[in-house]
Amino acid sequence: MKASKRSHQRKGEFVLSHGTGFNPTAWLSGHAQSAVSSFGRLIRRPVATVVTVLAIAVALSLPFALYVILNNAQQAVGGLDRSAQLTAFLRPDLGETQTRAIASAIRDWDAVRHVRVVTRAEALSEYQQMTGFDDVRNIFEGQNPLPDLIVVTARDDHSNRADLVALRNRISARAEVDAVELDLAWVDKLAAILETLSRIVEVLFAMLALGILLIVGNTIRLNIESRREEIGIVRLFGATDAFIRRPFLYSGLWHGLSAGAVACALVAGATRLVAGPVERLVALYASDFELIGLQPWSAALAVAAGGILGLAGAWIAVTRVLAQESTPQ
Amino acid sequence: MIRFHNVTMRYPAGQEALRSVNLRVPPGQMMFITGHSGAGKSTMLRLITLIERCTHGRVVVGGHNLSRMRARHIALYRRHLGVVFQDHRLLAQRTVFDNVALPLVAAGYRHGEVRRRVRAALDLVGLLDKERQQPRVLSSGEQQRVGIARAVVHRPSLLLADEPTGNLDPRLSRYIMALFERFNQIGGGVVIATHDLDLARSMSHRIVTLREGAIVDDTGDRRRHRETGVRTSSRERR
Repeated sequence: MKASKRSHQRKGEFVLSHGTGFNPTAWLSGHAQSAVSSFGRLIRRPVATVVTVLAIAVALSLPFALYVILNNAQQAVGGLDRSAQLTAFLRPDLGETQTRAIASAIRDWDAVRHVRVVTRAEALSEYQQMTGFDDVRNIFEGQNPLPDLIVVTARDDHSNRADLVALRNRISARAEVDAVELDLAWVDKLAAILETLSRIVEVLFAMLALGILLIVGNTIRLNIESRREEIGIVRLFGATDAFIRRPFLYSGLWHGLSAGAVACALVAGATRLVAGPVERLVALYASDFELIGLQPWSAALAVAAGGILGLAGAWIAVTRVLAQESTPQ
Repeated sequence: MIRFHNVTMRYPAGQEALRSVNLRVPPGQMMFITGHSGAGKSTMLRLITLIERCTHGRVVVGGHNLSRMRARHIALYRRHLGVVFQDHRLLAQRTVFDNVALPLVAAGYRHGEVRRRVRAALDLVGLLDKERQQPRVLSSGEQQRVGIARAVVHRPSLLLADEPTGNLDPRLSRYIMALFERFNQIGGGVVIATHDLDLARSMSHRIVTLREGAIVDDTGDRRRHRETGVRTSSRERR
């Protein structure tokens, strides 16, 4: 096939093909060379590199710091989840033995952490204490109108709104149960607060990601400007846009990865700074709350996010410049 | 190999750099384009290297109409060209070796092949011992030889040189021209733009003279006419 192509090729005619074919070794070697040379270029301009990396790192650290705050808030309110309780009012005609049998059955459910039985006698006694009426039985003409109660505490991982509603419905479905009381208002408020915080983190991350793209893009654009002549020469000797783009993409990647690592360090430092006061505060409330910093996986995510944003910013900048210049007028 | 069909090049400011130029350069020919400054020599090279496209007419190089060449093919087309500049345009941050290796690295050659070809090209221009040096420590003549090594290292079909001897003394100029001739002897086409008519005349190659964007003299045409005339007269004699 190649021979026949050559035989049809007239003298002096140029064949426009990648003559050497795809060579993985050369391709990898080209990437390695671009990666090393672009890293070396950053090191040779330490001041400019540090300023750019710090600017990106500060922008990156804000959403990650908020993420840490959110994570800790969720942990703190996780303690409140323990009070996610439902009160089941049983039919008045049931005896204590039946009540305890029902309580025992509910205790075995996955979503249930704890079950407490309040008999009608205990309930009346509590009522007496609460109201201060000593002769409360006389008020009710010698009768105890209160039913037996079962107080069900949901497990922490089943204390979200949907699981609590499901648990309420399951208890209500029992024939022995008259009514189930579940106060969802505080659950809804808590969920709304956490959702708002979570959304703020997302919006902030999106805005700061845009800022990072602009910072990296501008850095790469300046880099391209300073190497415009070199690009022109390389291009005249048959370099493709991909070849020209490569070192700039690595430059963006190095900026982003370093900024991600610095952002992690900033967040870790900030967490350490506030850890002391927070510990003293929670000690006052006798809580077992512990401040959680950036976990290893989320630190890795922060570095990766920095790398991806750096790469994307560089890609946008270099593609824009190359598109303006690649085709002769 | 090169054909200019009624080529006009007009810049946005209205300046006409080339006016209805017609030219045919066969494969493997060595040719000089001469003329005073602003005559259009460099513009012709810029059209061939596809730095610019002509505003009217057609430039065909290696069988490809450059006016219609797609952007993605330009890099592949340029790999058939070698370019030598008056100001060398070497990359100051890189070594002589890396500068010469540039066309091969851009084309994705293997490391071993790059090394072999670069050393051969540097040997050709007599600078093998300077491969690890930075271009700025070399003399102007040496820098030009590095530029030539870079232009021929990938064995292009066509070598283009824009005032390659502009900054060199006559002895070095002759040496540079000898290098171009050596390239031409192994089959490569050479187009040299120079204002040095004496230098061009000292070589027995075709000379195209431009004035204000138009071809005013072409020794190739004269030779062809002369040969045609000789043949005619011999026929007449018979």
